[in-house]
Amino acid sequence: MADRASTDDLGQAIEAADKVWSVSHVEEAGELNSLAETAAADPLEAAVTLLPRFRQILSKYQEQSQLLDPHLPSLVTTLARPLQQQAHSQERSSTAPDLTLVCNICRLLWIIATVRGPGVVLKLFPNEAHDLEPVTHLLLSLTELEADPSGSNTSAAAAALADDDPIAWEARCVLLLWLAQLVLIPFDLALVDSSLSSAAPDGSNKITTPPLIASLVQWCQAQLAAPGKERDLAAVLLGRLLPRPDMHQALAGFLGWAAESVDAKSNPQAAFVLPGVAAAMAEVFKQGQRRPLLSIAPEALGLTLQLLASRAVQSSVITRKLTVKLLQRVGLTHLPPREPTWSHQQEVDESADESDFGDEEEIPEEVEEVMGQLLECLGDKDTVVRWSAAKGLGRITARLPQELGDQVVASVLATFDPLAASEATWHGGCLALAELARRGLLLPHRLEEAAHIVEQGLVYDVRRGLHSVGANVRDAASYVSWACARAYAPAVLHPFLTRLAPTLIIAACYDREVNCRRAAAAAFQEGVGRQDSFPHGIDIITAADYFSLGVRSQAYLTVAPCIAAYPSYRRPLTTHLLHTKLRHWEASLRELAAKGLGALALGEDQQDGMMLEECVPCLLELCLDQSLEVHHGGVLGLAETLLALSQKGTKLSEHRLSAIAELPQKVQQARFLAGKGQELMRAATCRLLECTALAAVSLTEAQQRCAHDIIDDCIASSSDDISTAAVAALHAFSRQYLTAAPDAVSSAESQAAGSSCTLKYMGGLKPTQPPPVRRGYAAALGALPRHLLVTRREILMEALGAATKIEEDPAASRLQADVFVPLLSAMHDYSTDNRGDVGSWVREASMGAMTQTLLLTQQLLVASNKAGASTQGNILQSLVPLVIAALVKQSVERIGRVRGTAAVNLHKLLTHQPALPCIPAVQLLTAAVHEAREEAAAGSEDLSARVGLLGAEEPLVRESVLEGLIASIGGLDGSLSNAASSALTAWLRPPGATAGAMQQRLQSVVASLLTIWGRHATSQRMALPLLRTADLLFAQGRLEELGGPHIGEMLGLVVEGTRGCRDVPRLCTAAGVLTQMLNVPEDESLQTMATEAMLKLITCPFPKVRKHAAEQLYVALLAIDPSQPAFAEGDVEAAQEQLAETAWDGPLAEARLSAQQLRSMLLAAPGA
Amino acid sequence: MGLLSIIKKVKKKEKELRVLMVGLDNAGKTTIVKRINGEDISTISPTLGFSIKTMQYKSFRLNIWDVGGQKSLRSYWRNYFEQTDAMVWVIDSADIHRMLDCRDELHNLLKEEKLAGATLLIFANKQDVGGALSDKQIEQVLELSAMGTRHWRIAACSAVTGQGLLEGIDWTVADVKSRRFLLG
Repeated sequence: MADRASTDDLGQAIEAADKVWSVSHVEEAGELNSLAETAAADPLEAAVTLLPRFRQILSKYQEQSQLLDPHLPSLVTTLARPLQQQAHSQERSSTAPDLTLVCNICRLLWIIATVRGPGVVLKLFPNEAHDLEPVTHLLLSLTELEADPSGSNTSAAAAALADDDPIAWEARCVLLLWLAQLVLIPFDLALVDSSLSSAAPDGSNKITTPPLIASLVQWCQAQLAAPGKERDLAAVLLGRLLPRPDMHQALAGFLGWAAESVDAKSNPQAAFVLPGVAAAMAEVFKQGQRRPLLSIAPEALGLTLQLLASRAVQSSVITRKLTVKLLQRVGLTHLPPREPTWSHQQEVDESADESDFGDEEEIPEEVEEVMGQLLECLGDKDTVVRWSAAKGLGRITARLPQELGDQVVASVLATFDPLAASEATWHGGCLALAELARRGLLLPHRLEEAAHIVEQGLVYDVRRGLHSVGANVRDAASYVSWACARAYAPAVLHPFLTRLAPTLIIAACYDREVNCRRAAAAAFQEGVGRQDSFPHGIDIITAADYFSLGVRSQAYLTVAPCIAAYPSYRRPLTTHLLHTKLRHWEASLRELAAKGLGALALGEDQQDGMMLEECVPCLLELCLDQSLEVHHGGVLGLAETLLALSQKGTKLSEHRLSAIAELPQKVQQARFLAGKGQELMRAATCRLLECTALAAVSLTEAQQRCAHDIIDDCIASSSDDISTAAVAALHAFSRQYLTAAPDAVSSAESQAAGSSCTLKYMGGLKPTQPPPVRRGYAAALGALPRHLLVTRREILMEALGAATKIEEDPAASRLQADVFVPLLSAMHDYSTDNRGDVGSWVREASMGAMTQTLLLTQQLLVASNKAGASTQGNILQSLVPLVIAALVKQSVERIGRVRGTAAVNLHKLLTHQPALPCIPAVQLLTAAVHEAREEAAAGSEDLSARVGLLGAEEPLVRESVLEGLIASIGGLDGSLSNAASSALTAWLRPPGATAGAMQQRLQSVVASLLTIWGRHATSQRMALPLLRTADLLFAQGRLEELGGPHIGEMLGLVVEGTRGCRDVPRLCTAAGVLTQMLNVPEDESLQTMATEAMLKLITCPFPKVRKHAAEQLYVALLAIDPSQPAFAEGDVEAAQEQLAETAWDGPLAEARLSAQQLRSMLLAAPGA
Repeated sequence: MGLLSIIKKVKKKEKELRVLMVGLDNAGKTTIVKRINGEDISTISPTLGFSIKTMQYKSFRLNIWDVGGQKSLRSYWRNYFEQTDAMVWVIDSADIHRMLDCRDELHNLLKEEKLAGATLLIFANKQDVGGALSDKQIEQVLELSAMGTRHWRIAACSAVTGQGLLEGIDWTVADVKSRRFLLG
């Protein structure tokens, strides 16, 4: 009975625990399971059709994939079942597996693996020993079938696979994952290999690797050269397989193979296999037992060091990272793990056992070698390599005796040479310090030195040209603080943290980068949570949390002032703004820093006086510094501080006030308002004048005049920033100094000044004035106080009235300049990154914006019809064709979505009522738009009506459509390229046209082509498409008829484009075009030039290009008319022979030699 | 990658525990795993090979590696040592004949470098069977006092009744947790 009760308790307790803690919710769980069941039941059909839905559900959980965990085991088991069946039926009846089935199922499994991570999914596969052999065979036969589809009886599926089918890789990956699990079985691998006679079980045949496993190893070795995911998974599999106790021989064999395959001398493919080999070896040394590996460690170390010095490793980041990882693992093999008794935590832990290590222990030389290399790699130019080196240093040091370990710490500390260390060295050094600190390996006597470095690291910022570097260093310095806070006892760390607290707060509030602010805050929080040694810690982490620091202005203006309420942080924060951020390289950050300084001043305790006594004098000095950053920041800082102090009612001394009053004049005299940086300084000075006025600083007459001049000058500026700042300054200035109100006691001079400036602004409204002046002065009048305006009401209204009459024209010119020019230039945004053509988003957005703006412009113009038709005509006349042409170009470009957007917008413009004026080629355009909308709706790829725009009268339209077409012809999308090519060729030969008409069309296209080519002569994007289009035109057999100058010009462009080009497909296409030019009749110089260019191509550094070009030339010579004046018949034959006999993809020197002979055959003067 | 991603990773890792279940054959390892996981324990056959169970236990995810205990399999145990946070050694407390065998295997295992830092829980299982040794007796037979600095505990339990299981797992998880708090 008692037993029964306790059983129930257990059940209940666990159930309750589940309810509370099992945080999982997958609303589609039922659907997922039934999808998997359906797929497993019908892997040939259903598995394909339900895949999109399966992917859709799972990808929803990408961010929080652990939610899926409770449902994964059944999913994976269900899906693995058909694979298991295939594998076993292959084994029993030796029927070839159905590859389509395997691939279909594996695609589903691979989706799970990518969402949840291969490492998690791997554990869910069935791991019974009897699966190992069949699954291995399945994997191997998959590859065989792919390689040789004809030999199999499932040829259809295999043929589909062999044809570069992108599915098979998923099958390979899934089976590799599964095998990585299966090779862990705790049985002798010889037992599972049915090809071995069961007569000789243990003992005798252990010497050799079972053939099954040997072929698996061999297959994996081949995968190590593959660039895909298979490489990584093959490395994982090898890492689990080779260290098995029954695999000694295979491991030795693998090492031998590895050494051979990465040797660039014996294997030309060495560079490709390097990352895979390094990854696999690193896995082996990670998974394997230390002692057995010791025997091969020296050999592995030799290889690693050799690799590290090789050029292939030096030039590839990923390989270098993997090699450093391997280096670390090999190093660790030489040292037994230990609880580092000398580490700081252990000293606190009473359980430290001093007898655990002694001086008698020998540290192998190899370890020193490894440590030396790792220390060097800390300064590597790539982040990932530095990370790997830092982790390695931490791990190895944890296994060293105290004295040596402390030496490592000392060497890391020594890398922070303030003069010589680069940003990379700082970053790597900080990472290493953090890794050491995490393990408690920085002994207390080193902490002070470390604190000194971290303090500098937290604000590390080095200017490089127009930007600066060091964000990574600052982040890493936070990492050190965080790691220390976790690893040390409060008593030890207290001095360290007290010293770092202000700097951490500075970084958390004032760093430019959001991740650095958050990192510093996290480090601070860790210190508060674990150490409790920061004053006001809890209050501060409440104010400065992850979210409040996310927005920079909030961090500066809300969080920092809040923390500055605590006196111990106030001074460091203020000093940092004053001396560092006010001179930051980024202007907008200086502006923010100035505002931040104002916010600090506003919150300053009246008794403190730091702002008054220290900041203001310092700011006054900064304002006249010669460097732009410094005086800009200084002026802004002074303005904001002055304003804040006056708002609080803090009184500045007369002495300071007069210095501030003099400042604008001094700034002007220092010529900061002219020349470089003047725009920033003019806006900043206006802000200073505004704040001076708001703070009611008294100015002398001369100072007022000077200030007013500056404001007037700035108000008329064409820059919005300056003119806005000046208007704001005038608003405050006029109210403070130009007081002519009846009740105010003001001098005659100021009254006079007030009224004269009103007159001046009114005068500026005259139509003869340039537009910025008119705009600025109109705004200025709006800023003046009422009493200055009332006396002159009539004149004022008249002036404003006159000004509004002519308003449209400048508005129009501004519209064109400010709106359409950027939009039109956005249409040329073809930027690409790893996501592909990201510029397409920009192009799509600006198409919409242009259309909207154009229609809006028309609407405004129609509404304000006053100005008459001519103005309306003028601006639309110039804009409409530009916009239409830009849209037309997009309507034939590579991306279907973009073509659709273009069609929609063109349709809007064409059908808009009232109709837009000046639409070019209306009829052709209407047909084209109709077709493009069809395409978007029905997915047809017919471009003929859009290509018809090539017949438009306007060259702009012709060129636009051709340019888009060229991009499509040369694009990656095969079917679109075909559609574009055939539409172009069809347009060139309309049915029933006369030869003359066709010639005319061809000429017009070639003329446009050359214009476009000239415009894009250096474009990477257009180079290949242009060549393809030229090739296409030649292939029509029509181009050579044009002869003469057109072809000559094109030849020049082709030759120009191949110069210094390293793009193999482009060079090959260029070779094709050049050989076509050899056929242009009756033009000797052209042939000579083309031949010359071909001879260059057959001696270029790329074997593939040489071979291709030589073949092209050979064919061209076959077709050449022997009566051609350029080549004598005998020479042509000899040249053909020479071309055929040379191995062009062989050594370059040989090709050069052969080309020389060709030159003498083909280019010798005909008479010679 | 920066501090924030490290913190994210640490937080994730903090909640995951890798537990290795080992012991002689027929000690009741699989039964214990199934019992904790709330599965049926009426039909359990000897583990040929190994199995991995992932389960949610309070706020932790336990990855339990349950490896067969037959003599022929023991030399392959080391395939599974990598990154083990805690080791659970299961004993058939009623199997007095093999108790010394059990002691030797345990002490062999404790010499393994890769298990150096791992927490050790010893389950004195089958307390419900008549003639079972008590945990105190087993502690003496297995010479556990010579363990040195390792964190270990012996817990009397019965997989069939469920007695003692939760306490043992609770202690193991708490011990790993406190070590992690220190070493981060």
